[in-house]
Amino acid sequence: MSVISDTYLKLHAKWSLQRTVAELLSKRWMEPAVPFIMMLGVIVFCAVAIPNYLTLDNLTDTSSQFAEFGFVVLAMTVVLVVGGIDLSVGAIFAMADFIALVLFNVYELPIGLVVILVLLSGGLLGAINGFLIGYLKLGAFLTTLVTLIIIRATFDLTAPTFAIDIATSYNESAAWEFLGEGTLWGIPANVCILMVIAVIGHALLSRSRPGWHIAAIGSNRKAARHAGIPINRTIFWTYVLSGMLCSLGGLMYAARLNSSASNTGDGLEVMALTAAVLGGVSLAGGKGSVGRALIGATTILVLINGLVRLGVTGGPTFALEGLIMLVAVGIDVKWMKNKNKAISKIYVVPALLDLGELPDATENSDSIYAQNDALTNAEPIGLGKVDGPEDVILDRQGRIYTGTREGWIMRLSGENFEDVEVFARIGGRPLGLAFDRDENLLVCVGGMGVYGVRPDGEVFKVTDETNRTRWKIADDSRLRLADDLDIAPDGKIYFSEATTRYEMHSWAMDGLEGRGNGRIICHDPATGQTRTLIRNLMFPNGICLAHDGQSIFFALTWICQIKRYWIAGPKKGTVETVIENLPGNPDNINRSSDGNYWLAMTGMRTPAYDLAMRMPGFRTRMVKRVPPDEWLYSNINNGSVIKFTAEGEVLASYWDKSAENHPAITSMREHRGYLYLGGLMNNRIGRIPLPDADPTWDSSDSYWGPKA
Amino acid sequence: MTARWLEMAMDVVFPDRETHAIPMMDGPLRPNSALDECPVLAELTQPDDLTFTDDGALLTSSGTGVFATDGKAVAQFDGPVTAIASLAGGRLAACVDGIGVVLSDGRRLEQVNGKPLHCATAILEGADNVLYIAQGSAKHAEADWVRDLMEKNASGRIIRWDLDTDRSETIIDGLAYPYGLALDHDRRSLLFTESWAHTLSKLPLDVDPGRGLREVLIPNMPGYPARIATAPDGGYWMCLFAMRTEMLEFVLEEDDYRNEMMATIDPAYWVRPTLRADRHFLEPLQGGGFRVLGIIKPWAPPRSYGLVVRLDEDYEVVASLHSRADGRRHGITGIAVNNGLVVAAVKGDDKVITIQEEGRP
Repeated sequence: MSVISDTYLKLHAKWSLQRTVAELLSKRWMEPAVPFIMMLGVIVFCAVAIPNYLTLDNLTDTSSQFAEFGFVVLAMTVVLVVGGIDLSVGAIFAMADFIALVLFNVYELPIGLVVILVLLSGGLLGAINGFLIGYLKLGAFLTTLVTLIIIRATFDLTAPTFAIDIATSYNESAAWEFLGEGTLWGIPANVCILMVIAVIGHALLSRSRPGWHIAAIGSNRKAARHAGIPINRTIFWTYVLSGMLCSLGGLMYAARLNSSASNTGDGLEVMALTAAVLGGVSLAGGKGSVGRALIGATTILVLINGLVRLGVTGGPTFALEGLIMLVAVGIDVKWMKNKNKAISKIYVVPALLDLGELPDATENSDSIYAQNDALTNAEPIGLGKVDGPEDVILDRQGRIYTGTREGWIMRLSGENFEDVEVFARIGGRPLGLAFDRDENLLVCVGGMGVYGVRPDGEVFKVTDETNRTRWKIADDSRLRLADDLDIAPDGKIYFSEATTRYEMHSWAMDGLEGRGNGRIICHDPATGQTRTLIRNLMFPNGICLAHDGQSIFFALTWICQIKRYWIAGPKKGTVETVIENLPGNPDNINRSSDGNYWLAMTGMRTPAYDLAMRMPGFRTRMVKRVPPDEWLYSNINNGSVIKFTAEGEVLASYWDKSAENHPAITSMREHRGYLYLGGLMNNRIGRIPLPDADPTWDSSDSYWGPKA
Repeated sequence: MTARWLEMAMDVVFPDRETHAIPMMDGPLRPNSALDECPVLAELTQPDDLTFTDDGALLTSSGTGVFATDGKAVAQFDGPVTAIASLAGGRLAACVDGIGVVLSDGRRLEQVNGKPLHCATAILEGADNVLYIAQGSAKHAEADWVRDLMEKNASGRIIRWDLDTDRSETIIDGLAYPYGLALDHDRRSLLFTESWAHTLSKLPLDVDPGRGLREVLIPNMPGYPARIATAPDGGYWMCLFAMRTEMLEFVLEEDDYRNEMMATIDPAYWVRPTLRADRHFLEPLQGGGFRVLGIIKPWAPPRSYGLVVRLDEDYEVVASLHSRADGRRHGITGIAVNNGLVVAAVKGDDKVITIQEEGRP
């Protein structure tokens, strides 16, 4: 392999564009972000391509039109969110324009009354739609198509009879003028009104009960019905609202132009629909917001205006509009459907991980790791009664505690541990265990955080979050996979979070990725604060406080290393490597009675696995093309336990050569002359006698001294 | 990589085209544990090929020898015996890697068409004192079969040896590890399995050699076929010595990985099919093979597997006997039929077992 590609692969191990994209895509704010960027693009394009585009006059003119159009897009949006469509928006708009002009110019009604009557008429037209669609359950598309035709025809019939009256009227009103051409702090009045309505609409749609009902019906009508939402009524009122918003737009139009033409509001429904969909309002219903509607409205209006000013009119504009609509709808339909699929396709980003030459651990080799039978005949405890005892710990009374797959802490007691009881029900996946000074059992719970169980079985939360990593797209403040913990003499709890990218049930995927996704975190019960100490670790797993209390040892599972982090003394805050290139994946670490440390190896590296770890492309394709049950892992059907010194010298290894009783050994705990074994996927706890060990030593004494 | 893209494009353009994906194990291939329940006829170290003599005695090749069911050696050779057949007149033909074909009357065939005859995987007596011999690979010895698979070779051939004229010739070449030979019921054509191509084919015997008029009978099997035997009551018995898995097919496509693996890793620990999975800690492990609550699931992706299938006269699978991932009767390489008795050599479990006998289904 060339030096350049080697360097690239190593850099890729630290940082990946693909991962950034995957994390970006899973952000909710990315959905409106794309339309927003598109809007900015269109504005920049027009500003550059059209001379004098950014002058105040032009902006005021465009934004006045924007207010009218914005109302119509809002009207379209609310019915799209409820899962319908309103094709009659343009006709209602025209009708409202006409009614407003007649009331004001011909009947010379006061402006306040005109506004109310116009809104009422818009609401009435919307109510016709709403009644037909909400109560009679006629299809939204056909119904509004029919009302479009009828309202349009009525408009065409009646408008000419008043045309001359309107044109020759000289009714004047300051309020009317203000509505049409006035400005507030330089902003057109109608835009101000739109903004006020938009804020109210946003609150209504996203923060109020009716708004949630609308979105719920649009997302899943049947589920909404089962939840007791009044579907018919809500749909009815949504169309009424739509009609009123349209009529408001028509009113603005009337005030601004003071005239009515036969083509008023023509084709407005298609333009509004395009704008809404372009802004990210889903045609399938349930998804959309006022903000998105306005983003879409701006984009379309600026684009069409820009084209007109560039001299493109009529046919080509319509064709372009249709084309944009087609693309927007296509993206809407395909993207919404496949987004999660796309994210999951690119979420796993394997990196190069060169583990070094595999140490010989075969039987009959003279390696210290050589395979043997020391654990094969371990005495089974709780056989068939514990489901996946990841970690085991014993209290001062010699009772065993272990966390199981069900989310329980089991307690095994009695002469031969025949009394098996559920000590506490926490939920999640209990992993590492430790007793604190007050004999509370602290537990790392995968999927939840760090919890504690008092001696009477009461469960309490210790911490479930830490400080968020700066400059990281994905929010990693919640604990996803707290793995193991230990407690310093000052009461501080040091724990590992194996990965921030995967859940408990998909931990093995993190191994396929082979990246530093984990961290070491410290929680101080005195202040209640949780702080991340070390980041970007490759599956930090077991944690153990050194006998002198000055440092913690931690295991890095995928990279097969043991490291040491100094929490006190002259080297405080530094990390050093204790053991490199283990023949297997290290898991939990615990103290041994002779002043050394036990380490469980949950799985053994295989040559084929090591090779795959050196070939990230191979693993990427494997994840895509091979079903998960066939992916390559390190051999977790075999495991072993080793003992090492604080300096990193390996003293002994213990194997179950048959690999039938103790595969995937995830933990071990020495207690009064015995070594107890746990396994993540096993159905038993095992124990073997340690003839050379101190038969009085137990870990509670070792940590907290003999009980007073 | 280009091939991948082409493949994807083809998938779009011709979604219904014939592909060589691993077929489902359903219908008559539905997995069971029948092989694990079959009675043991003999215990021998790595029994490979089986043959019945004229008087009904069963001979088994194992290592460098040929043995009777009571474990007594019938013959010993200077190399591994890779196939045997008992011939008319009480003679025995044995294929010995490193030598060729050796008959019990002393005659030998060491090369054909100028190429040495090693890795002979099957031998069969046809009509008129003619022997048919399958040579698995021209590049590797039989013991290195996995290398031949991983190199994706197709260098095997089938040879005809006329004992009367002592003429020998290649009748078909370029085969992907032919492993089993049987005569069709009409005795006018030869059936042969090709392991790496996962096929069963038929070759008419009454045309000139080299014409290549082969007909593929089963185009796509879920495993690697080994020997096949003609059943006197119609149809055929065939054994498959290992299964294809998605991971294996994937590695066969990943040239970089496979080449690196072959160059640097002990073959015992490759991603590969095997006759007996030792569950050694250096063997690769796949997700479905995790031991959970003390149990390895029968559906775990099989590194080794036992499978014997019954074919009817139309070469359709009608029944099958399995030994799954949690079983032991894996790596079945030999099968022989004598009247109602069907026996199989379980090379991966050091046993010869009875598949079927008269009075027992």
